Amino acid sequence: MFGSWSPEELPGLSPKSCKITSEASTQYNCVAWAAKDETNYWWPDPMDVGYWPPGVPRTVTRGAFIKAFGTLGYKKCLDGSLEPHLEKIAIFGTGSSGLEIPTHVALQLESGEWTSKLGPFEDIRHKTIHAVNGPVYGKPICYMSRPRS
Amino acid sequence: MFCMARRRKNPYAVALGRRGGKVGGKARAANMTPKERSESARNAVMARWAMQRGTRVVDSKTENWLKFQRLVKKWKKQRGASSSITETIAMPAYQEIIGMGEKAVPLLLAQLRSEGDEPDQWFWALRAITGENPVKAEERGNFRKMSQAWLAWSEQYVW
Repeated sequence: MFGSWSPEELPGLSPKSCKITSEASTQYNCVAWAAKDETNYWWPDPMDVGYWPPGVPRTVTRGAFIKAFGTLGYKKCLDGSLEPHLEKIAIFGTGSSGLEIPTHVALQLESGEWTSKLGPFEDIRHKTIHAVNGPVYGKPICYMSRPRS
Repeated sequence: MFCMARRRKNPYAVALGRRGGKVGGKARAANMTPKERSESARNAVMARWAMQRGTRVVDSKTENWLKFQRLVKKWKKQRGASSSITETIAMPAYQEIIGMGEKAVPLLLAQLRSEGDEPDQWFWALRAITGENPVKAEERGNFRKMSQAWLAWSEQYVW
C-alpha cells in the first residue's frame, strides 16, 4: 500500500506523481506545514483547539486564510507558476465559487514541485499542484507569494 | 463547572456501604431457591476464573470502553486525510463520543495518555463535555502541551 491515505480520497497521488517525505503525525497539519511550523496544528476553530495567528478571525473562510498567511508576509498572486525569487502557497477549497471552504494549503519548493501534509498522514512532495485535487481538498482557490529568503 | 467527584472518599460512607453489602449478600442468599443459589455460585466462580485468565466479565464500564474504542477507530477512518478540525469534529463518530457525556471523559483522558507524544484531537470533546478549558492561550494548537494540560487537570478528580 502506498501512503496511509485511501486512493479514493486523493486519486491523483501515485508513486509516480509524489514521494513520501515524512512519517505520519497528528501534531501538525497542512496549514502549519505550509507555514513551516511543525509544533502546532493550525486551524481557526471556535473552540480554540487549533493555533491561529493572533488578530486574524477564527472563521473557516478564504478571507481568514488569506489574512493568516498575510501575517507571514504572503500576498495574493495570480497563479502557481514557478518564479525563482518568490515562495508560493496554494490554498485549496471545496464548494461553489465565491463561497469556498478552505480545506488544505500546499507550499511550492524551489524546484517548482509542491509539498503537502496530508491531514494526520505523511508529508509528501508532489510534482504538480493538482496532484492533491479530489473530494477531500477540492482544488486551488487562491495563490499567495512572498519574496524567497 | 464540571462536577465529577473530588478525590478522597468519605470513610464513614465507605464503612456503611461495606456493612450493607455483607448483610445484603446473606439476605439475598437466604431468599434464593437451592437452584438459584447454585447458579449464583457458579456465576461467581466463572467470574473469578475469567479474571484469573486475564479476561474480564463485561460490565457497563467495559461496555463503554469497547464502544469508545469502536468510535475512535470509526472516526479515524471517517476523518481520512482531512486537516480541518471543524470538519472532523462534526463527523458522526466524534459526535457520538461527545454524546456519551461524562462517561466519555475518563475514556478520552485514557486515550490521550495512551497516545503519548502523538495526542490526537480529543480536546474539542473534552471541552464540549466538561465546559472547562485548562489550556493556556499560548498552548493552543500544541497538542502535546494541550494533552499535558488536560491530564494535569484530571488529577483533581476521581474517575
